[in-house]
Amino acid sequence: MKTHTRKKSLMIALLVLAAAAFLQVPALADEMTDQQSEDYGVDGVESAVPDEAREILGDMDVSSADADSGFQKILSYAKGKISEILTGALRSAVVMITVVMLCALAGTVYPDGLPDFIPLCGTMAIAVAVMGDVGSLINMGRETLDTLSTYSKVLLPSLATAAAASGAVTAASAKYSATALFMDVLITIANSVIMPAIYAYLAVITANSALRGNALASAAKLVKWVCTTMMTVLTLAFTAYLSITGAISGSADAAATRLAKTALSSALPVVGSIVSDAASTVVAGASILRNSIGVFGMLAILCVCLIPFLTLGVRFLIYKAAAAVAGTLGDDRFGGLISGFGDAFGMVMALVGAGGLMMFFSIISSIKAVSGG
Amino acid sequence: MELITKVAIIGIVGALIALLLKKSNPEMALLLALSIGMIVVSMMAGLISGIMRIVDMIESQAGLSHAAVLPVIKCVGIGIVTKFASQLCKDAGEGSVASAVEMAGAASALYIALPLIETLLEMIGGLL
Repeated sequence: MKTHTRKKSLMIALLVLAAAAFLQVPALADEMTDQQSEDYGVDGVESAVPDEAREILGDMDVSSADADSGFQKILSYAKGKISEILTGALRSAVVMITVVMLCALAGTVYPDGLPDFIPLCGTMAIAVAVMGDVGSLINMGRETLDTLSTYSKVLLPSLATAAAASGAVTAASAKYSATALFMDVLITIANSVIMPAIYAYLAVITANSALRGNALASAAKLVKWVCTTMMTVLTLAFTAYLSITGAISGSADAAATRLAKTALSSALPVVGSIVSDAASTVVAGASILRNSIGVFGMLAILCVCLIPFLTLGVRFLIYKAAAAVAGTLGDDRFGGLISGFGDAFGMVMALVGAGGLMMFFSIISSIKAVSGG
Repeated sequence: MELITKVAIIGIVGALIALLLKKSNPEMALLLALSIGMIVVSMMAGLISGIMRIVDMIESQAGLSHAAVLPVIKCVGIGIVTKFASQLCKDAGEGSVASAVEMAGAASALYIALPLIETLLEMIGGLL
């Protein structure tokens, strides 16, 4: 009888313990996620968000990061800014067209073509009027790249840690180091080669428009080709490198994760499968966190690139339209000069785009990293 | 419309008189052409002031720098005056004088454009 009572008490105690353990699961899960957030440096990712991104995203953080609401915020911010950007671009276009029209006035007394000094003066006036604008926008592109690089130094390690915890140990480190390396290379090339080349391009197209004939047109084409080719090659090399390392290291990670699970389950019967399931829970938590960091990071990068991209894109289009108008109003050289300025904006936009794309590719490939689940 | 009608009438009548005078007194024909040219230009002064008013408006609204647009206006003015003067010289049969006038016009325009070139070089230097 006594033994029976003892067994009954033991059973009740076990049931109470099991119930207590069951009730504690959500609390433990929350604690685990908080601990994981702390371990992966989520606070750093949130606090390092650039000011321009914080202005758009408001109080959004990693835990509340949602692509749909983020895109909505970005879209509404862009709608609010577009008229301001358009006005600035149109002002520049009006300035250029005014100079072209003034020069075209002289064309009424020179039916066989303007004397060289008038297009020369007009070209210089257009260049002086818009060069400050062009310089400030090129600087904006440079600053955007710097901002992306600075933020990537906080975002990518955090993303890599979360990706590593979710099973993609080799892939995460390979992708992080590839992105860090290529971003550094891009910024070094941008500062030491592409930006000076864009300034040289501006000088060459101005000189080419000021002089009769297309003596310097080939030089301008060469400078443009060098800039665009460098950016294209760098982006392609990064994408290829990321794809290859992702494919190789992703398979290795998946195999390693499966192997570890099998080894645990077979080496420790019963307890092994429990440990394996617990590890899967941790991995799932890390995956969720990795995705949240990735979505938040992508939104932040989109916000950083938004205004430079809009400004440069609108300028590019308006300058091209102004070049077409100038070509019909006056001397061809004016059209060539204005179109050349538009191309310079296009090159800066491509540079910012290359930086943004690298970050996007890196984040997307980290999110899609094979976790071996 | 009224202005251009007046200009057209003065121009045609002046040209006919100059044509009649050219055979007997070419100097007088040249002076007449010069006078008619001056009259026509003075009649167009009102239109030029209208254009300048619009340029001023664009300057203030679009942020067009006065330092950038003034040399252009001067260059265009130099171009028109040079063309008018050189054509008169050619009509008088003085091709070499016409060439000298054109060269002087080009030199003046370049001199006017020098501050622009200087500013542009300074800007490019500042950017680099």
